[in-house]
Amino acid sequence: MIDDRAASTAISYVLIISLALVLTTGLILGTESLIQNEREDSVRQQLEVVGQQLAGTVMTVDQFNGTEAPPEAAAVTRQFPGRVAGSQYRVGVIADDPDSGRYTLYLDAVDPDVNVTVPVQQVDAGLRPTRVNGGPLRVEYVDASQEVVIRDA
Amino acid sequence: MAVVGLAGRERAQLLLAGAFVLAVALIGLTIVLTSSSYTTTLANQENGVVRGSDAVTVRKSLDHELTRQFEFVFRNYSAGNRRTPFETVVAQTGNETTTHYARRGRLVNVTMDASGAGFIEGARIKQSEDLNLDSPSNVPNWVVAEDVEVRNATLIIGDISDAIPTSSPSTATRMFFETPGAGGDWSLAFMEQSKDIDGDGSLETVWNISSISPSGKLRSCVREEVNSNYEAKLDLDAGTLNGDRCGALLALSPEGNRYDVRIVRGARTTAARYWLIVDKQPGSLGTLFAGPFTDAEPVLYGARVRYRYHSATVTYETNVDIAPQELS
Amino acid sequence: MMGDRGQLFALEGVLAALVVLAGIAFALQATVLTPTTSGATAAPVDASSIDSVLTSTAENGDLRSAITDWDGSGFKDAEGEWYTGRYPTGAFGTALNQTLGPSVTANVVIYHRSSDSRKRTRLVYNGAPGDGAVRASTQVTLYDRDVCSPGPSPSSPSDYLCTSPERSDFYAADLDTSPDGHLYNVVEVEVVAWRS
Repeated sequence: MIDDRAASTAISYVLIISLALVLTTGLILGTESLIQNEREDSVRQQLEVVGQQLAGTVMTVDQFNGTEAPPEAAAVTRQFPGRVAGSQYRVGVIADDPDSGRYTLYLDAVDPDVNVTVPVQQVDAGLRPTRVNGGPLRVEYVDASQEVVIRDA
Repeated sequence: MAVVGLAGRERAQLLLAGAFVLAVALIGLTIVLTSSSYTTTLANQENGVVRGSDAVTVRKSLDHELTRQFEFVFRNYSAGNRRTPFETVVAQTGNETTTHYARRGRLVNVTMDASGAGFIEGARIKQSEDLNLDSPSNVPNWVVAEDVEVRNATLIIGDISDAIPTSSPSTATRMFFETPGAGGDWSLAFMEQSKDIDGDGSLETVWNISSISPSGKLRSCVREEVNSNYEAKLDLDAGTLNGDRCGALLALSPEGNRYDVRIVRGARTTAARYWLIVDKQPGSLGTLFAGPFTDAEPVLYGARVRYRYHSATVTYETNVDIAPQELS
Repeated sequence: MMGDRGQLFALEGVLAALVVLAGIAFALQATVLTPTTSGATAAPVDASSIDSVLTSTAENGDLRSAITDWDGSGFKDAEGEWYTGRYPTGAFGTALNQTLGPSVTANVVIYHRSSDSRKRTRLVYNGAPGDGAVRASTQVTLYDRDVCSPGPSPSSPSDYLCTSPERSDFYAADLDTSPDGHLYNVVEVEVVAWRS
């Protein structure tokens, strides 16, 4: 004869259901935070690449002004992606020390709220403090104010 | 039998539902991870052509090569015959460069104004006999040229006056390179002093060339006395004194900036020859050079060429001034 | 009571296991797309350092002497027409050697135009470039007097021009053979470097 004195069907039922629920919820939550971390890493990596390329372009346009006569047209258009890992981002310029030509480019993405900074060293011209949305950008040299300007393309 | 816990049907179905949830979570994770593979594609698109540094490299190369050709033309063709050979070479180089880069989808060209207006006319101011440094005007404060670019300034000093003491910058001949308007003024001083330079205890007469920077810093080169047996040749562009490097002259580099050139107390250097090339024509220099030994003759200072570089991402057009430094 | 549902329970269990396995299999085969496993190798040397070597040797004339050092059938001291396994003797080869170091292999190729086509002459050739190669190039303008040394006492500008046998000796064509044509050719020198 089976001794079913200490087992109750209902409690076993509830226990198993709740255990399964807790396990599944834990799995989903853990995965979500893992996904979130991965996404942040991915966004940071892409922003760093974009930042380095933009900094390289800005310093090259600065060299366009290396002749004695000012250039009549000096612009480079770069096709940066409009979104990084699904999130929009903005590009801005901070002037650390305009007299010695030190500026900082900062890129911040909207969704995972990631912020990346890239230092830029200018030699000839200044860099205008602007804020533009990420995407195709046009870096040009404006002679009237002796500045390199980052604009939307 | 009653300890089966969950009813069999519900347990199996719960298991199935849990499996679906797990699978969906794994697939979602994968989708997010694969979006990061786009970064490598981004990084591979970067090279010098897209970034624009190729435009700067080609500009520097053309500047250097055309300067070399300008020097060659200047040295081997007589005055008045120098324009045509140089224009021809610029046109040929432009054609070749365009053809070369057209195959890669870039438009690169270097041209000069067809009418010859691209040449920068200048003047060579020279004194070919040993005279004072203030002739022809014989005034103690002589403005040689205003707002000019100077190249190849060379002075050969034959004698400094012994009659008046010239041992400090305030009493000696000074040659000023002043920035028009506000800005730094460089100057040279040609002094004669008594110093013991060979350590034998007796004072010799030595010659001290000093340069004074805009901030007042004095740099000197000391040499033996300048007299009729021993001239001193100063080359301001190369920074040499009789071929030896002189720190005072190296600090002063007149090329590339615009200056007013002025000589003060020129009478105290009694024998000097010099020449310098400026980028204004003789008629617009502001001093009347009546000669016969101090005059200004028209000469080609340099040329202005137009450099164009267009590619899918870069737009660059500028004028490049070809003005070699090493000529006389 | 439930004895005849045993097969269905087993089937549902197996199905659940299959679904989970399918999810895991998809996840595993998709992870090979992530950057860390793409197999991309790091660049052996920054392209800008090769660029600066080319610019500096072009400005002081070492690059020009290296590419005009041709004795009719090959570059000077080369085994055959080009250098293999070592850099040219001379300032350009030394500069390239110092910048790249011993762990990097390089090819140096000269592109020049003849009257109708674009030709390629090798200065240093070490095989086809490997993975992760970087390249940089610069342009050099050759005049007649760079390619053909003028005589001992040139007296007029036309003494600096190339003569016909000297032109046919050189690997690049003289693009301007007119009596006053001092331009010889405009060439592009490209350096490709990869990790050996």
